[in-house]
Amino acid sequence: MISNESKVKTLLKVDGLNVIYGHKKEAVHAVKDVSFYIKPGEIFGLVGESGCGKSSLGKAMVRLVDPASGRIGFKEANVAQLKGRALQEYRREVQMVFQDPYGSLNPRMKVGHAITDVLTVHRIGKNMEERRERVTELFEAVGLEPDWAWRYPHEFSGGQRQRICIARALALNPDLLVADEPVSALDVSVQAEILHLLKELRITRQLAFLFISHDLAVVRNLCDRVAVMYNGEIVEMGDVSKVIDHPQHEYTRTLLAAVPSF
Amino acid sequence: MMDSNPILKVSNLNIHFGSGDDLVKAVDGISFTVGRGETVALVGESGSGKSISSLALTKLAPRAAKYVAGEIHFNGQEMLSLSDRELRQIRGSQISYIFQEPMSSLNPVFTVGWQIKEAIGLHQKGVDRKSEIIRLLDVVHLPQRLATAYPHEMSGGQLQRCMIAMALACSPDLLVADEPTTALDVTVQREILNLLAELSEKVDLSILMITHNFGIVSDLADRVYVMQKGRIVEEGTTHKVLYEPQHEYTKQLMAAVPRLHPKPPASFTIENAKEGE
Amino acid sequence: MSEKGKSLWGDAWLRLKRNRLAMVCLGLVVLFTALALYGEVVYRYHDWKDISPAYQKTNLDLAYQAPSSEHWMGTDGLGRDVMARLIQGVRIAYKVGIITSLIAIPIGVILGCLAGFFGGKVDDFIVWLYSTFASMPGLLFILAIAMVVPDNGLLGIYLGIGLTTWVGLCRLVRGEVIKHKEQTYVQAAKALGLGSGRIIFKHILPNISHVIIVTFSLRFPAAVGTEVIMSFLGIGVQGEPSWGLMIDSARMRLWQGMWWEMTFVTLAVFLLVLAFNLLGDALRDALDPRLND
Ligand SMILES: Nc1ncnc2c1ncn2[C@@H]1O[C@H](COP(=O)(O)OP(=O)(O)OP(=O)(O)O)[C@@H](O)[C@H]1O
Ligand SMILES: Nc1ncnc2c1ncn2[C@@H]1O[C@H](COP(=O)(O)OP(=O)(O)OP(=O)(O)O)[C@@H](O)[C@H]1O
Ligand SMILES: [Mg+2]
Ligand SMILES: [Mg+2]
Repeated sequence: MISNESKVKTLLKVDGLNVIYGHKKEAVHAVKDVSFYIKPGEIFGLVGESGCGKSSLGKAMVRLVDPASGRIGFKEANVAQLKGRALQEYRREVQMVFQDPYGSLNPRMKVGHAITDVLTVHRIGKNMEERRERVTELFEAVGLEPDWAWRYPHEFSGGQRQRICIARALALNPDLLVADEPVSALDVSVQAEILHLLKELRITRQLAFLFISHDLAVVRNLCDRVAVMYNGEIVEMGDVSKVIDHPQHEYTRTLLAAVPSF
Repeated sequence: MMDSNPILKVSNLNIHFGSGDDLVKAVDGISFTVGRGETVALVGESGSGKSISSLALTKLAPRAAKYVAGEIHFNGQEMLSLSDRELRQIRGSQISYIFQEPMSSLNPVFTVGWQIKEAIGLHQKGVDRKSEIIRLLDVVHLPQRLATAYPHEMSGGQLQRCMIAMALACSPDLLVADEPTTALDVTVQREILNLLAELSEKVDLSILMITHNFGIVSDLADRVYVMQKGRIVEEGTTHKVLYEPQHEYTKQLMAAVPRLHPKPPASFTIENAKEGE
Repeated sequence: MSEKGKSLWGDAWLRLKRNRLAMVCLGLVVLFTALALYGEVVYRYHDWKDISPAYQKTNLDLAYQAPSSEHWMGTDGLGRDVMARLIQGVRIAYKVGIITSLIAIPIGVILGCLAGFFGGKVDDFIVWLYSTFASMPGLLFILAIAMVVPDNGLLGIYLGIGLTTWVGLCRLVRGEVIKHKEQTYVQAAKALGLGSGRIIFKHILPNISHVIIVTFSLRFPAAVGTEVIMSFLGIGVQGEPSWGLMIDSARMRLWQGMWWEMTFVTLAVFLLVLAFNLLGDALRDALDPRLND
């Protein structure tokens, strides 16, 4: 099903990935033998049952969970073997927006500082002044008041926090963004703006996405290709129009039938 | 559908943060009602004060919040004038919440089974808690084995369903659901919505539903309030608001709803949604 | 509210400044610190000149005088002025409280952080280490160190107390770090490519600072208490006035109606401990941005 069209070099290539939590009797096999690829500038959607292993897969991409087996290739590198500087460089190139925006912000750090901190570590911007400007830029890009950057996470609404996390992930100009339900807390009009921003970035910066979502309409409008996961496995994968308009697998059909209509 | 004796009546609620230059009028004079057995949707802009006003119903808004003006009548009591003790008795037994961010709302050091048990135990004496936990997990389609799992061992959607189970554990009169299904796939979401509809039908559960998903609004809600910048800009029956929006902002929202099967000559593009700002 | 660019600590200071009670306590702490410094200077000066300071002047005719305009806090069994000795005693109390904390707290915090964050072998080793320390009778250990280290017993006491009391804090910090390590914000920091040192000390530590602050304000009176026992056992302060010695000697006379020495020393200990505790509480609250208004 893959690779008849992969003449363009792939950015990310995942082969036979397995993620297992816990040991022996209590082991949870969260991701089972998953393979897919993402090309530069491509938006790859991932949909599926709640608890089927999407976030686990996403976290494996940024090396937050160690796969039990399988290979993750990024550009030329084997991600599992990265260490030290190479790993740090990889973490600059691959960013993640977590499913839990509030939890992923340090409660005792102003959100602006959370961003300048990251910029400092990766030596982006010559001085603090420049980094602050970058924060302002990013805040404007996601539709937040730049002055608000100097507030603590608890002073924002759910949707605002979600946009802060998107801003932080974009701060380092990554090549791949693992976005775990990045727009689930946004009203449709702000959501449209953010999606517009993401689409723009893929064109101007060749930014590629692993876009995890439950909102099939958003996936339909945004993604190029999509994979449907069920119980840890990818059960269907292909161009988004094909999968959504002509679903092959039973689960995909059930899913599409359950979309609330309006 | 308007109720002459609503279970919840909020009038002219004002909630501010900070002062001077930093003054944020998070909730700026809103009024709304929820009738018995009615499902009311609160929709609107991100940051428009939906969560804060819903938390304010039992004075749960963050410490920094100042209740500047307004009245909240629930079951005939004025909530803002109640003591902490009286409020505690109402929270969780008559009004229960599904919080917006499930992954940050559960206690990381206890198993979810234990937390559900707490929710049952606090308000219902003399039920068999073990079987009740199993029943609740089943109701939200979670496997029993998860009762012994800690929050960090669960997926976003599983945590959200735990929150829902906890909120339902105490059979409330009013359920405040702040984006209760954002982390759920549409099949589970459907089951949960059906359950809520059933409860509202059978036991007269009133629901205040905050959501960005107009599919849910159209499926579940009887009436809708649209919020923007701390104010309610439009209200009406679901059908009226969704299909004959009056206010500019509501129209803009409706135009921005993503469609699964875009109609070919779509009057909406992301570009013109932006211009509408 | 928070100003642009100010860090958590800057904000905490602003908030602390607005807290009346905290400022009063801070004033008290500053006062005690000044007295301690004054005491040190006086001690050094007399030591250098090799003369006997006023607070050591004994006059048996004046023994056990109740407070009067001449001796505001009365005199003790050797006719020495209680107030002078009380003030001089701040120095020892402070040294014992602060220096031992400066030894114990960094050890406890750093080891606790490393054990909690890295887990595995590091954790095993540190847990082994503190279990070993915890299973040794503390007093014996202090005695042993005090015997080995010269400097009229004091350095020995500091080291002894410092090296035995980090265990509790280490345990607490380790537990907190383990809890925070699982939280998404730490995961997010990792995914952003931040190094372990930065994650531990810049991201996690501010979130567990309350544990350290509370420990500090609790250990102060405990350290003074230990000093009392040490002095009592004859390996602590020799000759110099210390609160420990004063309480010990006043204790004997209390039932004879000589209430003043006991009262004023206890009051001083009480004030010092209270000031540290209240200031610690205020600081803990000021460091939690969710509590601000
Ligand atoms: N740390 C962990 N330890 C044990 N089990 C885990 C852990 N993290 C996740 N799981 C389990 O792995 C499975 C997959 O979880 P994951 O978070 O990847 O799901 P998901 O597809 O993102 O779901 P959702 O859409 O609900 O967020 C779930 O059954 C969950 O309970
Ligand atoms: N502690 C606080 N201090 C200052 N401002 C706050 C605080 N908490 C919330 N706010 C502000 O109050 C406004 C309303 O927040 P609220 O959480 O009610 O929004 P919401 O409508 O629920 O938005 P969303 O859909 O994004 O969750 C926001 O603009 C937010 O920035
Ligand atoms: Mg997930
Ligand atoms: Mg909200």
